Amino acid sequence: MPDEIYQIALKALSEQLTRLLRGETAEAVQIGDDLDPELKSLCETVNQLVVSFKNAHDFIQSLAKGNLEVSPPPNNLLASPFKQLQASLLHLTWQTKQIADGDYKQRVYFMGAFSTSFNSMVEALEEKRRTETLLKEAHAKVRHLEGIIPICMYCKKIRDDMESWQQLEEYITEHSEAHFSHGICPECYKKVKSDLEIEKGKLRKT
Amino acid sequence: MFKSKLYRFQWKDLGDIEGGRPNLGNLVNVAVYRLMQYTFRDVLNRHLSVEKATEVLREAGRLAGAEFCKNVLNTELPFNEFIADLQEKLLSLKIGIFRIEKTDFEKMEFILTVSEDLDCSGLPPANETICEYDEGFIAGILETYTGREFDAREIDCWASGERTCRFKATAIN
Repeated sequence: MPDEIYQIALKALSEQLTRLLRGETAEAVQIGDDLDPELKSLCETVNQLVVSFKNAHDFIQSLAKGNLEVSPPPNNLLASPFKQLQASLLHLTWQTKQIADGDYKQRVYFMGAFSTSFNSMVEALEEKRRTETLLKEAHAKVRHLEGIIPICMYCKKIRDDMESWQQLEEYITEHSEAHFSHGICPECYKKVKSDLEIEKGKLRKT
Repeated sequence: MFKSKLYRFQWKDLGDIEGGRPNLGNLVNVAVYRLMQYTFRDVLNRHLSVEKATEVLREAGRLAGAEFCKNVLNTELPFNEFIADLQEKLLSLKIGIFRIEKTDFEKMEFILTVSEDLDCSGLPPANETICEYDEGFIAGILETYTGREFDAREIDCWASGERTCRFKATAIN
């Protein structure tokens, strides 16, 4: 092979490798039939590197722009760490959607300090949701007994939404978590006892 | 009972491992597991054909996945919680790091990855897929959980220290 062809091929290879190192788009080196087998093999390898580099570069550039759906180049070892990054980001995207839908079982593993922060955030969100639910439930219970309640001034029955009159105990039991246990207060005790004595007296007379 | 055409795997066939190995325990070196799997592949490739051997490995994985799902996972959980349970079990049993990337319930299609996989992590990426057992395992789990037939295929793999495999699982019909 003449020296001139050899020099041209080496210069072309050097140019393309320099472009790669500068982050520029390199082009395939022309491979003439007159190249000796070793140089031809070197040119083919450099051309493979140019293609792999371009595919990896395009993939990484799409990822950098936030396009997580980009298809990774197959069998491209240069892109391997970025495929790992893409997989992690896609998984995080999926997990974030689940958490937004109320699934707080999601946890991130093996992503260093990010895992700790993310998992703490999910636990805090779960706690916040739990507290909100408790507050809503408590509020719902309180609301039943809010507002103006129509009550009979004599017998103390309460008029409900259906316009019927209910015993006070019955109404409160239905509209709250409260229950009644019946007893007698000292004043009523005196009054009831006195009423009973009067009734007994009447019976004796008859 | 094992040497019969009528033999069908049952979970109890795994035996009382704790009782049977009081000194050595329940753990074994990953290389030993792979020694069994890849020597099986060697002999199956030679005695059957590569295609048939691949089919056998995938089918064995499918059976393992189905039994694993029935005996280890809680199939009563809603999907997201089931996946969280699966992820946690695969992690605690040191089978691999399972991650979902995408779920499409209309098409019943799932994209997922397995890193640090028991079967293949540490092997260099090649121009061929080798995770047929895993493909079957994933399909078996999803089939048992959903009650629908699934096809799972490795669609990509990469190595950056460990090896990670990406699978696409789709319900058939």
